[in-house]
Amino acid sequence: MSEIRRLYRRPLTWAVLAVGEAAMAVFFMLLVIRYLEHEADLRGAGVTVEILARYFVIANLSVLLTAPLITMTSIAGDRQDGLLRFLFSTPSSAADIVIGKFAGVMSLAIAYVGLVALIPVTLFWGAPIDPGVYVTNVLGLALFTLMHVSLGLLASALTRAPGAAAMVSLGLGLALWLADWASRLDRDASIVGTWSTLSRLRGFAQGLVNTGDIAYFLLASVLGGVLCCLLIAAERDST
Amino acid sequence: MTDDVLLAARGLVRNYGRQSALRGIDITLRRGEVLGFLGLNGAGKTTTLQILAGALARHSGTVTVCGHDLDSAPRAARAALGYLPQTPALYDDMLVDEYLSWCGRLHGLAGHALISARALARQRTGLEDCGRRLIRHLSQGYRQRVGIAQAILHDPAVILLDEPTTALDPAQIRDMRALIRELGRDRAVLVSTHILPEVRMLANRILILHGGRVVHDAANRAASGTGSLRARFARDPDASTLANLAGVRKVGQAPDGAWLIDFDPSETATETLAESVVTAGWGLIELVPAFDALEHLFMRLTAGKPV
Repeated sequence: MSEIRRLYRRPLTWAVLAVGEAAMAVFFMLLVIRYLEHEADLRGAGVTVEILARYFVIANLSVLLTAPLITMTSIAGDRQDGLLRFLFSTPSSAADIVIGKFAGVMSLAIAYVGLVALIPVTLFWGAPIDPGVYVTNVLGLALFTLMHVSLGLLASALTRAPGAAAMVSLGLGLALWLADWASRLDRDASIVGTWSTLSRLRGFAQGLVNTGDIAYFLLASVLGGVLCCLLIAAERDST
Repeated sequence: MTDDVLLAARGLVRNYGRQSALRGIDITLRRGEVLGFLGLNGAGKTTTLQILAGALARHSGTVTVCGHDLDSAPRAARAALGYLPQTPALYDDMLVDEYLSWCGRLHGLAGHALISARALARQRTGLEDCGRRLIRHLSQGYRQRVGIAQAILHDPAVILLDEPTTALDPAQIRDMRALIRELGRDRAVLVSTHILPEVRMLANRILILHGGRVVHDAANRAASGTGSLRARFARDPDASTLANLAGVRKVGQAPDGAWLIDFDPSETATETLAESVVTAGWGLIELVPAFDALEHLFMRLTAGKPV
């Protein structure tokens, strides 16, 4: 709880929540205006696809951009301030340290996902929205966030400079996102596309729950956490 | 003091690249002991403390805390340790109480035990009124106190303090020294510092590190000269009169004419000398402990270039 309270005392936390929520509200409004202006052309696709699914693509992109900001200091900052070495002198194991950090950052990420997921709920008051598609999109966003928090922590465990951790995390997130485009440009690179987060989110956007996609996000999250633990344990035992 | 060994380090070696920071040092700390840990800058004091605390890996050697090996039983060994780093490791965006609670939980404290331990640590370090203050808003002296509070919070058997009185004002230094003395009664305390008078006052054993090696490890009495007095009288007695006082071992004179009187610390020579001054009417001008011994010892042992 101390870690969570600490996060909410940082101006950066409130800035991320406020700017993220405001930006998503603007995007949502633009999507609604676009739909209303071209209603005749877009009626075939429907509100669910033209507003809801598009909104969640942008929501996932916003997580890709904000996750590095909220994870960058979690381990790198502690290392920079001598707090990680102090933690090594306590009975906490490497796993305890990583789980504690993960819980703190994840609580903030859940708050962000919750706020972002609330905005399209307004559509239920005037548009024929498929609730199932909404639920799968929220699930996809939550899994995507879980994975990016895990990757962000891993990047933070690699360096003592929070800025560098943010760049590594962002680079990794973008590479996984854009891998889908690479596979579209080159047929030989189709295998790369299967590792893309964008292609894994496609099913959720369409209201489909594919266990392979869920497993992908969960395994990537666990892998990031395990690598993070191994890095911290190695640092404790060798530096 | 008993022979109850609470911390034993053997053959500690630590290298930074090609440079050897520690070259096989041994340290033993017993219950009831306050060990003064001295050395020049770069002698390896902080490295040693970090290794003893389990915060830094060593390249060779063993560390045992309360019978628990730091490698094979790290949780038990670390739970018995309290460690104040040279720069207190604090989260600026936590309240003092939050930080102390967090530290307590890291050491397995919870519920009422945590609350009472936190209250006691705050009381011992003079932080009674600071529980709801944000650490970022504390002065350097108060930050240091919070660091010390976390080191003693879980009532560890072994306490490692790296320059504990840094940034404290004179009144805080006095209180901190009293606290260290109190802690040293039934625990083992290692105090690393540059301040020789501090070691002289606090420690009952002194260890001097130079060039990554232990160059002195002995009882404070022998090193600091607590059994030595400097006295000046209006009417000087004979040297033989002074030498014949109970407990006096040796009498000499400083260049300025003051008497330097070495005595057996176990005897009450100061009291005997004071009585003699009054009864014989020597007219006491100055009577102070002669404290040069520790400084001379330190300068002599650390004068040479480390080998």
